Amino acid sequence: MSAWLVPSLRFRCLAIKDNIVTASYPTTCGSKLLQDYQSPFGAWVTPAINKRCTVPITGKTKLDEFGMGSHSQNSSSGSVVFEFGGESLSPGGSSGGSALAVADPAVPGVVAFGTDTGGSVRLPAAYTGVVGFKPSYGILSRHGVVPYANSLDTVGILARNVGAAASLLSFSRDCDTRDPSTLSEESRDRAHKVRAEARPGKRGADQLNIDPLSHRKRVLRYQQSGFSGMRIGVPVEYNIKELAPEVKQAWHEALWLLEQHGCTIVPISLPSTKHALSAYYVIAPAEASSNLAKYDGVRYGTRRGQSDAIGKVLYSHTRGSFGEEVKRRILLGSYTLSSDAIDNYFIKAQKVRRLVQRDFDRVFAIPNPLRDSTQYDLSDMDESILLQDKLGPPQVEFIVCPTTPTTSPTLESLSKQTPVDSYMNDVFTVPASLAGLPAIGIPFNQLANSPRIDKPIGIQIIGQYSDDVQVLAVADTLISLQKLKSLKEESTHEVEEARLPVPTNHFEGHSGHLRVDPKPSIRHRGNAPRGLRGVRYHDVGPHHRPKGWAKGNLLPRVRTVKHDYWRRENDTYNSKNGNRPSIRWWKVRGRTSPKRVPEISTTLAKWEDDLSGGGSKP
Amino acid sequence: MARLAPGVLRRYLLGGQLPSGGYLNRLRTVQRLPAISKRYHETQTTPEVTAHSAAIPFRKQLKDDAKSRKAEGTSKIAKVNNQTLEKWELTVGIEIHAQLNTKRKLFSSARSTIDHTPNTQVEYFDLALPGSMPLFQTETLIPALRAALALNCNIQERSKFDRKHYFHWDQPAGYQITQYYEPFAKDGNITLYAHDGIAKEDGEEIKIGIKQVQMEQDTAKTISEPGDIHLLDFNRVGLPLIEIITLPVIHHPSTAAAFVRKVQILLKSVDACVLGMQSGGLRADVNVSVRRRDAEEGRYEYAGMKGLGQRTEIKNLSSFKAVEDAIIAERDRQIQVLESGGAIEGETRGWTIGHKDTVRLRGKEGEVDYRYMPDPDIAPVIIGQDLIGHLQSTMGVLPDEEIEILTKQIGLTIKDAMSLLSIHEAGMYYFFRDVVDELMSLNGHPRESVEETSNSDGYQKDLWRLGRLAGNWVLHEMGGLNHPEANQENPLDMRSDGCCRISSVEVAKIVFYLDRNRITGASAKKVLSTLFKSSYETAPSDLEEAAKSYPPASLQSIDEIIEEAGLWFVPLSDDEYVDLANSILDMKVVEEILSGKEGKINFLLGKMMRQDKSGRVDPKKATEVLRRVIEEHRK
Repeated sequence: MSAWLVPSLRFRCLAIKDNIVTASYPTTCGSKLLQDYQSPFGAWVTPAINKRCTVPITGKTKLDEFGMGSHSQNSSSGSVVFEFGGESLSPGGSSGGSALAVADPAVPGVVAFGTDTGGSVRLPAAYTGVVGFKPSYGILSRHGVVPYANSLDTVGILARNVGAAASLLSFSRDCDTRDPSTLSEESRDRAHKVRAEARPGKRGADQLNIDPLSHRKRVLRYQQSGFSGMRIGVPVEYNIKELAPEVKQAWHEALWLLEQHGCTIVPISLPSTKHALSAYYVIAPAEASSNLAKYDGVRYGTRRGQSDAIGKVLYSHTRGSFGEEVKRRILLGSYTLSSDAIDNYFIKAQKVRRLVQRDFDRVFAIPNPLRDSTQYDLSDMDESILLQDKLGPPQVEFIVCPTTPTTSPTLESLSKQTPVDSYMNDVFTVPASLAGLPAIGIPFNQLANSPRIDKPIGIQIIGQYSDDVQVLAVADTLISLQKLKSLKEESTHEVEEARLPVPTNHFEGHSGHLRVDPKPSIRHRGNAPRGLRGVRYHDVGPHHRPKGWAKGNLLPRVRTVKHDYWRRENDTYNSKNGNRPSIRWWKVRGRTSPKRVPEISTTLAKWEDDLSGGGSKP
Repeated sequence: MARLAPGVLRRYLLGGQLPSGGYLNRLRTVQRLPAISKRYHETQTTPEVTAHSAAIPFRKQLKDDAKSRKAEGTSKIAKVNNQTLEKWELTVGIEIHAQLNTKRKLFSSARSTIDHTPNTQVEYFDLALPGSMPLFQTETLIPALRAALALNCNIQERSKFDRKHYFHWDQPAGYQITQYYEPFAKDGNITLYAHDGIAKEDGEEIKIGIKQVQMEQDTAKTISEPGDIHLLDFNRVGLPLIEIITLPVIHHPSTAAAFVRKVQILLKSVDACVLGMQSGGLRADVNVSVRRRDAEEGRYEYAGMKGLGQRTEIKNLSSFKAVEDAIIAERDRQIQVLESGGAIEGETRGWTIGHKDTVRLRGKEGEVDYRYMPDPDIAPVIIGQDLIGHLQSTMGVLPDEEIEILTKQIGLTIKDAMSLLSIHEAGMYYFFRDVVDELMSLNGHPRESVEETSNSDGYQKDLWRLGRLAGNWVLHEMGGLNHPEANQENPLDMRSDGCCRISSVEVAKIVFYLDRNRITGASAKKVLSTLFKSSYETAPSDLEEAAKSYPPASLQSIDEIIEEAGLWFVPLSDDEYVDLANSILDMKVVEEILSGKEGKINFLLGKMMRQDKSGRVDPKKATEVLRRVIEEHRK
């Protein structure tokens, strides 16, 4: 038994979004046109194909039709509802089903594959309070992913904790020759060299290893010795008018925490961000209109025995069974590609995409391994870009920002929204998609030890291209820091020893190779608590098995989950009254204490000043 | 691929005779010989039925057409000069689609065969299954690059694939992957000569500019059956094609047909594709527009050519004749419309063999906007100079260069060149080249140093003199040989690779001795026929055996034959000449000559030549001696 397989015990079963083909289940993409479609082959990321992973597929999860939507409401197999605090909320989209399958407290140990085109994994993760990771474009093979917008699609991972996401990534990251857009091994090596050069020392050297063990080690190091001078960028353009106060609050808290642990918070400018959303909604529908051209009833889709020419235009009958949102995007895409409009829309949008990528490359201290390093002339830069010194604008390692401007909206409020309103939710997730960067959305207020029964809020960490492992490590550390903080708040800053809160890991005690000691002692050294210094971990050895697991039966039997985020076979459309899962807040403390407004450090205060002076409007 | 496949060249020279049965025949012979280059396609057995043509049997259609013409009273279309019109100028641009000779499809590893059981050579991507992805097969570039080089194109270092969207049942993805924005080859040209069959008005030669050459996917094959049933064979979907797009610079219908014919020959000669038009491996679309010669310029611009009239497109022409006839019909239709005060609409039209008119397929309002989009899954193709250089150096000689060598350097007439190429599957041509090579090396131009010496004057002069001589001997003298036991069709048992009963080395030696005056023409003929006869007595019946011991070992060498028969040319002494002259002298003729009829001397010369049985009389010397003897009679 290699050390590889042991960490797979971090999760028991795998849910797969219904737009990733599987040989064992039909793949409907939430569309009537594919309602009976059984793929003859499985996607590369599915365990049967990818021999490294032994976790069984539990089922396919619902989604917005072909991944088009932000709330998982546009599906022929019924919408997905996130029951929270007595309200029916949007689970986010388009991987809403996958997110709920992971978030469901009744079924622990689920990890899920989603797809992230413009935030389809990070958005539902933020709304439902789980971890949603979009790797760099080209790290996970798209072979078997029914394309929505090929140049933006990535396979994303949803999990309860970052460690599980990291394990799943490590299983499926291999270079796949069947997907021409995956990064070859040589390119990966080259990217690694670029990163190692730009980030000298140990942090640079171990980046090739993506395995869960290395991940754990990285997190441990951050926890023990802090971030020591890491520069975190805060894009001023993201401080938009629509940003909800509680989201802004969480953002502040995250930045404050990072600063407390050695990060330097730097305001940065990404001037093209304001056009990114428009560019996305030109490029993605254009590619979608092309990808969906095959569903004409000749091979896919049901024809009802009439001629294709019945109706106003060719195939109008067959292709009429697309959902409203899909039809809207096909029309939009067909228009922006038409010979009269392409220059004004598609070509322009591609140029904006380049500018967005340039913005990121300029801001990140690590060069983009896919592009030659460019000199950015100060005179070329947007006037709004803040300069650090006379040499130019500041450079950072990561960008931290909210995942979504607001928390999950109620379904009721959704019904009043126009389609364009719902496009707004993607405003923070789309730039990383356009640039192909790794980005992770983590739940930020869930575990706060406060009486809040607030809706989940997501914080997003974006890194330079191919810097996936560091993004994961920083995200994992940030979560643990927050846990520690709430713990300390609870213990009124005086208790020397305390219990850790419920671990994010649902497999307490059998999390794999390394295990958190249920009763660590926390010793303060000096004035400031630096990370989880002093928390002891002990190796439980490779042969550790959870209680009750028979030898040789590493994989537990999974009971069949029947909630309506699973796409069911023979589903009747719009089964809203199905066995809806009731997602409760799993730790609600009865104690009340006033909301603690974090101390704004000097840097942060300066940033505030800058914002009040020149904060951008969307 | 050292040099051109001669079968192709032969057909090229003979114009109208384009490969059908003969070509297949050649394929069979090629298989026996060590293949110079691999052929991946096999023949297509099922004739293509295009989507546009109704399922009427072709024969019946022709019959019906003939009937209807008879009924109209125009049983014969007047054969007038259809190429040019006084008042109107025609402009034509052509797009040719040609199937590449490759092993695999363009974006999947499925085999590119055409005669397999339908729908067996298909990968997931070919059917556009959801989630399948394209995998560009780099090997398909090689024939495409050869084609582009043969068409004198600039190979682009970077090219990209785009999606062209339109709905049709033969298109599983709903789009065709092609190269629209950045094709792999641009700005080419080919030169058409009078012997290519261009219109007289275009003079001796005309250069046709090629805008671009692009790679793209083929569609599925539709087989139409009665009862509105269409069967699809996805074996063909995704096969690599190249599309060759010309500039609108052609002004005569027959030049257009000549262009298509020449492209087919060029593509075959560089082994870029193997199927001709008649088997569906090549299809042409033409764009036709007309404008008045005297009026102001038209308002339209295509591919940078300004001042043209509104064009229409005629799709799916599958023979050279169809190209020419369709252009003529469309030109006449457009002129008629314009002369009656109408306007031409930009539309797509069809043409069916045997019809007089083009048929409207779809108009402007039904025009497809292909919504070209760069394919986001396929990386740009980067073609290195080293590959281009390698292909260029191994591509060999193109048909026009070959003809230039035969006519301009060796000094054959076009007619002789054609004969060489048309006899015995061009075996004569190969044989001839071997003879010339051998002759040149006997004359001090060894094969090994051709590179250095081929530009020298001496080499050129020798090649010209010896080439013509050898041509004469190979074509006329060897062509006249026969033997009672021989195969009357092919007495020499000439094979298509240029091996026959007589080795080229021996023929070269005969011609060499003749050229050096070591034997006379008459003796050379004798030696040749002795050699030929002895081959029937001694040569092994199996020619392949003979080929192994090339040159075939005959019992006697040329030198021995000459020695034995005493044929070495020993010039006659002066006395012998005088004796000979005196013996045939006819006083009556002598008097006539002396009285001024100088021409009569040739009569005596002829007599003198005939008298000489050994063939040693040199006519020059004989004339000289005759004059002297006659002058003596004047006294």
